[in-house]
Amino acid sequence: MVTGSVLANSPLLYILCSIGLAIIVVYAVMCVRKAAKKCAEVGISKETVLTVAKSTALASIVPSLAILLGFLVLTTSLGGAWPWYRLSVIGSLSYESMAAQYAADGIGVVLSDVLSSDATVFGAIMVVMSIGVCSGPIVVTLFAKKYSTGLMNAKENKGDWGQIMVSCFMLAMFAVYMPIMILTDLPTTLTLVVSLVVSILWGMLAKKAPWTRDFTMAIAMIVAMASSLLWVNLFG
Amino acid sequence: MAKEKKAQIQLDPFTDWAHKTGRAFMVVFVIYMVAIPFIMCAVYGCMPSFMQILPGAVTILAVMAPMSIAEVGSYTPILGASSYLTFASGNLMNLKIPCIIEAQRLAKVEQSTVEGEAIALIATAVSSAVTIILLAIGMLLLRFIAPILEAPALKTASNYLLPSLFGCMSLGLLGAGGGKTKIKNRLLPAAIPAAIVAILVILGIASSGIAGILIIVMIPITILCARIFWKKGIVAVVPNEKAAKKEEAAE
Repeated sequence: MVTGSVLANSPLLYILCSIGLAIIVVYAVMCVRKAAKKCAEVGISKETVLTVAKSTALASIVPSLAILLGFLVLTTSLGGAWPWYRLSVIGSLSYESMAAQYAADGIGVVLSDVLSSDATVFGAIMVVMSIGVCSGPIVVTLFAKKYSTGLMNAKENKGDWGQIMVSCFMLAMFAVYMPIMILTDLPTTLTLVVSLVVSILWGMLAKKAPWTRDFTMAIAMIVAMASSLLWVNLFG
Repeated sequence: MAKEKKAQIQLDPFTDWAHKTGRAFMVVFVIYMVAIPFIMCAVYGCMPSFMQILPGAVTILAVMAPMSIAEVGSYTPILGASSYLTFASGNLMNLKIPCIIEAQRLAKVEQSTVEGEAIALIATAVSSAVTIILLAIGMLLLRFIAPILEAPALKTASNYLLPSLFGCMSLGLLGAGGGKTKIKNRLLPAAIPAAIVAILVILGIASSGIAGILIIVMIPITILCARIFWKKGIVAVVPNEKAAKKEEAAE
């Protein structure tokens, strides 16, 4: 019997996943080149673009380590290649775990037994995880252009109201997340406050030493996450 | 009138390129992603039956479809033409959106502008590349880094990633930005939606799990509040004196 483990650790799966990642990387490189050219056209300096790239790269390291932690969790039930691909691109730990769990439940298998079960089980789980996550990309493909260019037009053509209306989308996001985080528990609230305070202080420092500006988000995030350990010990 | 309509739908060449290639990329990406399991099962002769796939697929689609619609509705205005790469590379709230907001703040560009979209695209691409590289390294060195990643302190700290990101992001919200104009009382329209969400959290109805759906509900409420405040002159677009002074000093 071919087991799920054979599929999960197959060199072919590693190759297919690598090609999938290469598709993303190639498109990302195309985007950077085109966007950098556009930035130059509209007067955004090369230094600013480099600052943005550096700051983003630094700020992405810590969240990526958290994703790596999720990868570690998934490898126990799904092997290395598939979680590597999924978490590198489209998925998040919560979605991938949920989808794998639903798929396993549907077949009547315990998730931790997938690698030792018949390979059809692992195949079914991969199919369900792939189909389940398609709705987001499909909706984006169909509607993102109309939606975002409509907003650009509104901002351009509706004067002051257009500018105010467009700002409402980010406000709505904060209006939802802030109360959820502030009212969840004290460690979460304090972590958020530490992150904000560090960002402000670092911003003040960056005025005197502009080269430190790239590190604002990364530093604020690391200090805030480190402080969460203290808050959990005190109030958790 | 016809001319005016034509002007409205004429897109900047960059934005047009980003949407066209983004859509084409998305089609290739989705087809390839769904094809991987089928190729594997075909090669190893272990194709699952329809009935093995159906129950799980129906359940996950029932959960994911409304969430996806809500996420696209909520985040596309922030992402613009970078929506394609962002949705394909995932990790929206815990990585991409904070990075984009911070990048736009650093570059002093606004959302829903060509400049804002170009910067968002760079931030998304760089962020995606970092994740892909780190995960590849992580996979290769799994045996060595697993004990570090499994340290209790790191596990606890990673639970607080979202508030750590939101603290930094708030800076962009509190600042006046680098544009020639700013919005007076900009945060005011969010007061009522935030109060509604706060009540829902206290009642145990709202949580981060349904944030996407909550945002899609709160967007029209926020816009309505903004419209009322704008009509009354409480919320208004005013010259950004700070940015103007900076510009003068630079000249």
